[in-house]
Amino acid sequence: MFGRQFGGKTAVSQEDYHYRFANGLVLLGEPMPWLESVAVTVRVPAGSVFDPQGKEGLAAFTGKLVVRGAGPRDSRALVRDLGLYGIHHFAGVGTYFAKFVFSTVRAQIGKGLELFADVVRRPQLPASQVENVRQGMLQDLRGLQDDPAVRLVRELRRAFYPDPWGRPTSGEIETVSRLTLEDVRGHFQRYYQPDGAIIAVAGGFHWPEVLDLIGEYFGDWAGQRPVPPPIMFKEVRYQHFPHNSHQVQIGLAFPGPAYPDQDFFLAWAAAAVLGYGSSSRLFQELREKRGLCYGVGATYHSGRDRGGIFCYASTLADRAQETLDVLFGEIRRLGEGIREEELVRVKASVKSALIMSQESSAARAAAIARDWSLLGRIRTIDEIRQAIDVLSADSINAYLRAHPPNGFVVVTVGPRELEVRGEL
Amino acid sequence: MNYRARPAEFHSWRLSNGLHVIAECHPEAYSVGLGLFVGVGSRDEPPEWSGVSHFLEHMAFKGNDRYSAEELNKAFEQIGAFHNAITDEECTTYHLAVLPEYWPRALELLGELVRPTLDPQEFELERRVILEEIHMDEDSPPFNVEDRCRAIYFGDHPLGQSISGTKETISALRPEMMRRYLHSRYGPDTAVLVAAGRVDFSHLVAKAEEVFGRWEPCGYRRPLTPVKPQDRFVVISKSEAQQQYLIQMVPAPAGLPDWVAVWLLTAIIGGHAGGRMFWEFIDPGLVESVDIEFEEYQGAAAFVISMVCQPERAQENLDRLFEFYRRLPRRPIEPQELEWAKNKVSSGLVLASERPISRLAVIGDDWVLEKRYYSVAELLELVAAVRPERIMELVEQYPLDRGTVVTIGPVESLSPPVPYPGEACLLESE
Repeated sequence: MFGRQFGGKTAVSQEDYHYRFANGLVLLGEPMPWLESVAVTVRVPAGSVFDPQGKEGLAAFTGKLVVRGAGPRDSRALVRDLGLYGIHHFAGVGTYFAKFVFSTVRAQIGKGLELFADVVRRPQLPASQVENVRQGMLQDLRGLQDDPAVRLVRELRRAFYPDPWGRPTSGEIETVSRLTLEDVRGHFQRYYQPDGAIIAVAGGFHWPEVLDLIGEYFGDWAGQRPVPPPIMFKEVRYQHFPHNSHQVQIGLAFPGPAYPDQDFFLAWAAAAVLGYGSSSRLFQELREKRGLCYGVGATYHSGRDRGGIFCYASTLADRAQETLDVLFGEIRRLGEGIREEELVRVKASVKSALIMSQESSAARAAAIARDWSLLGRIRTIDEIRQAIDVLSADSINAYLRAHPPNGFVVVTVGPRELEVRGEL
Repeated sequence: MNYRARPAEFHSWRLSNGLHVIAECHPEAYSVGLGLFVGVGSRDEPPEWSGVSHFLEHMAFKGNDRYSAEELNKAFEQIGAFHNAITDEECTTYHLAVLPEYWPRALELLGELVRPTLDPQEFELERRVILEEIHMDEDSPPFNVEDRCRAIYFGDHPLGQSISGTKETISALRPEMMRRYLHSRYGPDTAVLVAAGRVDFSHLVAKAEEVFGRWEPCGYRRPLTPVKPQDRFVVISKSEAQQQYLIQMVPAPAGLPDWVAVWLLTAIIGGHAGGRMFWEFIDPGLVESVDIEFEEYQGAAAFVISMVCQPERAQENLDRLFEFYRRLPRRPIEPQELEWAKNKVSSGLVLASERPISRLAVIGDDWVLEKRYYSVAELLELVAAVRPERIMELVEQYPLDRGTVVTIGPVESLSPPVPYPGEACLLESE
């Protein structure tokens, strides 16, 4: 079973590793029998898009309170038992999902599922912990005001995505200060339910055993699928946030195809040529040739309904205008096309990344859960490999001619506001 | 609970010029981690050249007589290598992860990195990049307070020197100085070539001989002067900050044969979920973060404690932290507490061992520190063997309510939680 490579035959296809329970819960599996570890991600549709106006941060607050005691265990007993069973875990609330992720050695998967079934179904939501959670969140919110790079990411997302999709999950100091236990209970009752929830398991596991365990712990979970809130579009072009620092943080985003879109891989590869890795155009032009910045690059954010290319650079105030101008120049130049040799290196790094992802159960569990939530199916490693293999500079350039980068949103954080030149 | 480690074979060999080649071979792995660990860092720098090791690490990628900077970058990316480099107090590491079929080519490229041309034009451009890196660190929390704490704690000892250097030293460096540093510090006698994953050892040795066989020894031996840890309490006021940041360094045991006991100690008292600091400070929302780490160097070691909290609570939290330290020797390690820490550490070891690139870092650092190697199976045994009394001994021998404390934030003054002599207490402002 060791050393499975691309193109190799596997005994069972991916189709055999998903199961929809009667209550709507979807279970996904990716067997990696060469690993001793197993990773599980539980995603519940209870993210920050469901926060009511004026109660921003509620989903995150709820996500922190559910892990403070669940089922028969209070907060201390829960944390103690996770450690005793050697379970490494992480809980975090995203835009659409609340995510509970854990990794352990294969023998302990049953214990992990038992504990996390309690967390998402039977949290104690103790009144005694509400102020503790609030204080922790307020500390984090104050802390991020000190970090210009974190502020930039937060504000660029907010400016680029329509509300509530760009909303910071951590809320605001004013709203978090007002949240109550009643708010948390209401959020939990409405959104922590199985229809639309996903559990993904990757690593060393025995599928019939996993099916039985999930059936036992989650099969009788009941509830109705939440309705996503309406979307509010807004028009932001350039926003500046003053910050007492040496550098200006520059963020620039423009739209690209959503993950299910047939053009997704074309646009994604173009973005990689632009800003991924040390041979990328942004790294070469801004850092290597001009010495303008230390940190520079671009990443593709892709969702179910929309996507975007997010570019970042930070530099001293007196060189920030030049940096923004060069950054813009490179992005606009992308519309003129890429060269085959640039694509070759992108393909090489994708091939490496895909093969190496088979060394990480946590990475595969996250990838299949994400695929299911965005596509309603899983793109296998082989399928992604083929989609990347068939890309050519010609096909990418045809895409870029039809969809040159535009619709830019620019955000800066730092001591100096910049001038945004040209058409946005 | 018994933890199993995937079987691995360890091999080591010394080339005729003295270069050690070591590897942990997993024939079933999907990748190869490869690294050249050069055992020199900020502590090996003349003070007026502070930052030269890190600057040199950047310059290694800026080309030589065979490759331009751009060609070198492209060569790494053509084979889909994920490559990077890192400089710390004692080691400069050039490392990468690559698919098994490409490791020989990757090894050739590592060989190119240690003979950079240091072209003056590239040097000037990279100086600006380094200065940007320094500005970025100054702008982001915790505003270089670790560097300042390190400098004060170690006093005149070279371990107190900053890794990135200062704007003044970086601005004063010249290519000829760096070239002298390169020739006097980089050689087969200061470096080790490390591999982990799907690699055949005899092939690795043959290829290493081809790439590094003509590398001349530099003759450098790090002078090991004793550390005289300083007790200081320094408050730096930075009015525009929102939070208060605190770093403390305290002497810790160095060179212990059962150093895994120190790991378990930090897991038990630390700020990760379930540790004593977690229950004391994070769970009740008193702080944004708090933790204790163990840092070991050649001939010295320190516990580094960090805390971030809102300024209004800084005095209360600081007093509470020292009170927490004083309670430690009075509260025995409970059997369940130790079992909890052992399981946490052991499962972490097994999970991390699945990626060759994470094993590479551990194997290389251990070898650089004291030419030692532990397999995951040996580490699991060492962890299992630690007794609670041993951890209590360490708690008693290494009290935490002392050392150097440096804090930065909006608070203008704080009272030290234990008496420090007058000249050891300092107030500064930015």
